[in-house]
Amino acid sequence: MKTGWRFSFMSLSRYLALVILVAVASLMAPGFLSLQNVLNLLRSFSFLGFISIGMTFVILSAGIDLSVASILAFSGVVLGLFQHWGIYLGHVDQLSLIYPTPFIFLSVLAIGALLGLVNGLVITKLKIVDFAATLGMMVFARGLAFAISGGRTIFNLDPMALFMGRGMVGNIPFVAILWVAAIVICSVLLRYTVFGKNLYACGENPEAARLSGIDPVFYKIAVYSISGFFAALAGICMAGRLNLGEPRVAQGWELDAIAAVVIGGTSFAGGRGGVVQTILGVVIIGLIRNILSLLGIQPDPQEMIMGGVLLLAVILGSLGTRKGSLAHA
Amino acid sequence: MNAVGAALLEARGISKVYPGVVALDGVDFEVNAGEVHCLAGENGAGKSTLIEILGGSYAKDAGTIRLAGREVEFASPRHAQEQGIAVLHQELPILPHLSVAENIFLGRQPRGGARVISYGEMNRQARRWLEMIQADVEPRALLGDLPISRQQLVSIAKALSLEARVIIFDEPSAVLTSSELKRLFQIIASLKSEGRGIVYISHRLEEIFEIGDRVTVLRNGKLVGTEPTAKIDRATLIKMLVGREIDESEAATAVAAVPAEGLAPVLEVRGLSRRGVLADVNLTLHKGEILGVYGLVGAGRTELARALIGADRVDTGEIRLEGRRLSISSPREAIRNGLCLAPEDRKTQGVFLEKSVQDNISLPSLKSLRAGPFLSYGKIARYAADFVSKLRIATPHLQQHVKYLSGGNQQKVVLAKWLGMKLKVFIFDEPTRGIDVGAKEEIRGLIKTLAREGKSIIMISSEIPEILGISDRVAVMHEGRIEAVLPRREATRERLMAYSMGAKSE
Repeated sequence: MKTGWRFSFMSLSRYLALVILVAVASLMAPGFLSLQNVLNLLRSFSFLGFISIGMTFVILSAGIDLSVASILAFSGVVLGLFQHWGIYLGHVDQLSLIYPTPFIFLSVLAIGALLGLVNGLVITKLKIVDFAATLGMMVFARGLAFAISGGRTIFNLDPMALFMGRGMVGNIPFVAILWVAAIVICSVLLRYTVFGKNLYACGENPEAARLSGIDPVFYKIAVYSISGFFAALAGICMAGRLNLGEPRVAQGWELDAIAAVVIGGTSFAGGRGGVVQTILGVVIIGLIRNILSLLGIQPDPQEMIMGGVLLLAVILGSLGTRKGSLAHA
Repeated sequence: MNAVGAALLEARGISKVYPGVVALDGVDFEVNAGEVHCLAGENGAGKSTLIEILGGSYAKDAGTIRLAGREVEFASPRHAQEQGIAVLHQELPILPHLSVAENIFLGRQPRGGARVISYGEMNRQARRWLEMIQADVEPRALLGDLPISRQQLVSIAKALSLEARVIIFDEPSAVLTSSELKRLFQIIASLKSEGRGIVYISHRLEEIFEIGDRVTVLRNGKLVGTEPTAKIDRATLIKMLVGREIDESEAATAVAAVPAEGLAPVLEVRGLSRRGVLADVNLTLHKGEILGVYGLVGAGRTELARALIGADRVDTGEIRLEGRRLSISSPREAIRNGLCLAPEDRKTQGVFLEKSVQDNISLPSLKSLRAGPFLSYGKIARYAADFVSKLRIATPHLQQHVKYLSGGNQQKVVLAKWLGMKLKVFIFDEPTRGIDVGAKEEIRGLIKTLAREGKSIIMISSEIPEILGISDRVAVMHEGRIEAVLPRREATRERLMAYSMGAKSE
């Protein structure tokens, strides 16, 4: 069967790409494969990893979320402000928690999920296409991050926030453990719950799902809320890693996340793929970035190459399916 | 009137074969200048195929077409258009965001200096053509903003601007109100008096007699006959449409039906209406009964089915299940109340083609297939395997994607999906369409078994023998209305056909 052949070619080409990237990196940087470096890489991949988990849910539902990087930045800023409540009173560098840090984390996660919920509501209730609705949120959330921080960077977070981004459990970065845990939970959610099964059904064919008694509107709203939640989680960890709340972080990361999900093998057409596959996509994107940096290419020109990678991934991804183009996303 | 009676378009021995189906079998058809020639026949008789061939959309497999005496071969619709044949389809191919004039002159816009489109000239010319048919339409209006009747007038103006000598109307009455139709008839009369040839497709008897000079009847791809409308009456036309000899063999195989009246009503529908789609539909469905619903394409059968399970909203009406009034606003609620639908468009609405047999069958029942909060794949596989063997679904294994299954087996998957859910009312919309004969019989058998187990069935079909073979009672729909409900013993092919065409009495 033709599609079967293509499918195996696609999965094979992913692993081939991974092997080549690892080989190139090892040649360029001796010690690349040392345990310490691998763990460091794992940490650096985790931030993109979180938003890619959320993006996987969205793309499974045949949607697309352009607002994740902005929600990430906004969440970091909110975290910073909630820990520097006094900033509004003029005490700039002094910690002044609005309430205990765990509750601040929960608030930030809730705000992220809420922004995602707004995405979902705009798409389903106002019938705005996913692309346009989340593009609006992308600009809005980034603007909001600048507005509430007055464009300033908020320095110095408390130790618990730092632990989210920098903490180590033995030899292993805490954020990497958190990422792997999130993947395990989400893959169980997708594979072993009614919610997951219904989500796949809505992604493949919303009308057939509706006639089978599933409400596609609920699932659309749910996936965007989940995506917002993970963007906020990434925002907290990123702020902890950098020790600051900064409205300018993660510019353009939404495209890296989309590329990671598609390279992993989740189809733009919806209903096919999963979060475990996304790990591979995140690692490939991370390695490409890593190698480009090793080559001394600055972050901004890197975008040129990443654009090409994204396009290639989409083209390869649509070979297996007739519907697999952005036009149907 | 010029050259009345001369054959303008003459088709001889037209045949078209699809894999497994002879759509047209040596059909002769002609249109004279200054004539309205009606084309009639039930669903699948070959009307559409014939006009697609005359309009250049399909290639014929055999036969000749002569236009004003000269033999022609149409390579494309555009080619046929250039030769003077215009087909006005029911679904008008329009570009809604362009203006009326731009639609009329698409691809041949009048040019001014420097080969730039002259909008002034285009609008002027468009206005002239529109005025010829007294259409009150502004050339600069966006076509998408106009009601469908006006869009049709624009299409006619376009046909005139192409200097069409033969204009083919494909069931225009299906989308027009009666006053709009009256206007259309006036326009057709004036086109006729200019010496153009008109082909008018309809299955409504009154229209055929009102506007037609002659009528040609097709049945099962064969020519039944061509008669001047002045020389025949309704009964004769119905006989031509239905074919008497089939009717009698049908009646002979009829089995005495269970009298439904004595049984408890399960589903009661009162005054169900939706503007332009359903008009005051009343139905009663009893326990263990199969109610056949017959009607021509566009009669509102699928719309009724979708309204009953809450897939489409309705304007007014009441649905009662076992005496309890339901307010169903989504299929989800319908299923919760015990109603389900096997939709007409099986591949895009009934099954998930890219998912496995197991996933398809278990989807609505997943809640009951858990161990604690998590799905048990062991339970799911046993559940699906049970139905695969019960319904004898031919699949190599449970993980096979449904797209690789035959149509009949796909339909069984749809049925299996609902069987484990303790539902009361099953609605089947064309359950045997597009599947092979053996599988059709099997599906009908399964439906009968369901009814015997006390489920209530609504079965929509375009095939009269199927309806007559399976139903306890038959409802006939016409223009969104239930025209008649006949007990099994009173339902004959002739009566179903007559009611479906809007003939209140024979």
